[in-house]
Amino acid sequence: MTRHEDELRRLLREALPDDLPEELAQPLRASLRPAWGRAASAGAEATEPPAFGWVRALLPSAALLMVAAGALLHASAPPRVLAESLSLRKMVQQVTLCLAEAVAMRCDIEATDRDGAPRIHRIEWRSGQGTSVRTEDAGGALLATLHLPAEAARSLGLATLPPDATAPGLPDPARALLSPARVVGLLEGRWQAAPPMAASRREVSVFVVSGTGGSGTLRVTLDAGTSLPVSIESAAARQAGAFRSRCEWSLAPSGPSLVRSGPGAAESRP
Amino acid sequence: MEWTALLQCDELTGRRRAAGPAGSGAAEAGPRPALPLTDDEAFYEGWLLPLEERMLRSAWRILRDPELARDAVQDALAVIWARRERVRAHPNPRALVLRICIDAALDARRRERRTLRTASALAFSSPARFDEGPAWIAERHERRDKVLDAIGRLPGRQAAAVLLRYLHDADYRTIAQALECSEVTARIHVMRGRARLGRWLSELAPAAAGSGP
Repeated sequence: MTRHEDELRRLLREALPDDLPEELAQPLRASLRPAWGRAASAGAEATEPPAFGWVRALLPSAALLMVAAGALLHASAPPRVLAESLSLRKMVQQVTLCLAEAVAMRCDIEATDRDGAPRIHRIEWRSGQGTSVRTEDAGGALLATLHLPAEAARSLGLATLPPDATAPGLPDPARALLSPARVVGLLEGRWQAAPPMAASRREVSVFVVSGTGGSGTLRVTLDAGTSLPVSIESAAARQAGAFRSRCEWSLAPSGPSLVRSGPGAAESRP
Repeated sequence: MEWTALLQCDELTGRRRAAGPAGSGAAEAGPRPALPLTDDEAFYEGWLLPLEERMLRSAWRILRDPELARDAVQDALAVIWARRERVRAHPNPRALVLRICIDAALDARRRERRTLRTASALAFSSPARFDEGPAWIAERHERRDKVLDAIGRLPGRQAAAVLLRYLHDADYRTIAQALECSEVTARIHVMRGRARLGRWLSELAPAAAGSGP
C-alpha cells in the first residue's frame, strides 16, 4: 500500500471511527430482527398479486402497443383526407382574401356557342368601373360587346341571373367570372383536391370545384405566388358547355407597382 | 475481518438452517426453536444474524446517529429481502450485504443533508478525552463532515469501493464481488475514488493527493 493510500486510510478511519458505544449497539441490534420481519411482510404484500392482477399484467403490453402505434403514426404520413381538408381550407381562405384585394381582372374564356361555333369571350373588370365583355370568333373578329355597371357585375346573384341578361352566349360558368366577387361565389365551399397533374413551376396548386350551377366540375389552377386563379376550365373538355379560361389579376392600381397573377405575373411584380 | 473465510460460501447455499456467510455459527448460537422457522426467519438466522454487528457498525461509521443508523440498516434489510435469492446465490454474500448497508447509509446521509435535519453527531461522538476541548471536538466534527461530503460527491460505486477498501480492509476480489463487477473494474473504481478524494481532501491530508497505485 502506498503512502497516498495509507494517508487516505488514516484520514477515513479518523473521520469515520468504528466506535459504536455498546449502550447504543444493544437496542439497535434488538431492532433489527423485527425490522426484518416488517421488511418481509411489507415485501410480501407488495409482491402479492392484486385483485385485478391480470389487468396490471396487461398494462405493460398495452403501453408498448400504444407506444408502437404512436411511433408508427408519427412516422407515417398524416391521414390523407384530413391533410387535404386542412390544406384546402387554408388555400380557400387565402384565395378568398386575395380575390377581395383584386382591383382589376382580365379573363379570356374559350367556349362554343349554341351552334357549336368556337367563341372567345374577353372579360375585363375594373374596380368601380364595371365589366366589359368582348365576344370574338375563332379568327378574332369582334362579334359583340357588352358593358355591365359595377353594381350589376358585383351584386347580382348567380342563381338569379338570367343567362341572356348579362352576357348573351356566355357559358354558365363564364358568367360567374364577370367580377372577383362572383369568382368567390363560384369557388366558395366547393373545393376538392384534384388528382395530381403536371403544372408549371408557378402553378402548383390544382383543385377541382364541383357542382357549379349545372356546369359540372371545374378545374381551378392557382398561381403559387399570389394564390389567385390563373385558369378555370371544365374538367371534361368534350362535354357540352365545356369552356377554358385564363385569368390575370391586378392587386394594386396599374402602374409600375402592379402585382399581377397569371401568365407574365412574375415579370410584372415589383 | 476474515474475508478469505467468508468467500467460501457456495457449499452453504440453499441450507435452511446453519446456512449463511458465517457457516454454522448462527445455528450454534442458540437453541433450535420448537417450531420450524419460516423461510424469512431461516434466512435471517442463517444469513443476517452473523452480519448484524457488521451492518450496524458500517452504518454507524457513516451516520453516527442511532436513529439514522437504525433507519439505514432497516432500509438495507428491505433491499436484502427483495434480493434474498440473489444474496443466497452470491459468491460472497457478506460483501454484498455490507455493500448494501454502505449504500443505504450514504443514501440516508444524502437525505439527511437535503432535509437539513441537524444530526446530533456531537452528542454521540466518542467520549472526549480529558484534554479535548470544545474546539477540538468541533474540528473533528468539521473534518468528518468534509470527508463525508467528499465521499457523497463520488459516484455510488466508487464511494462503496473506497469505503470497502480503506475502511473495511476488503481486498479487490471482495470489492469486485460486492460491486458485482470484475476485479479490474473494482480496482479502477478504487483508484478513481481515491484520486478524487485525495484532491478534494488535500487540505486535510496533503499526502493523500497523490495518484499512485
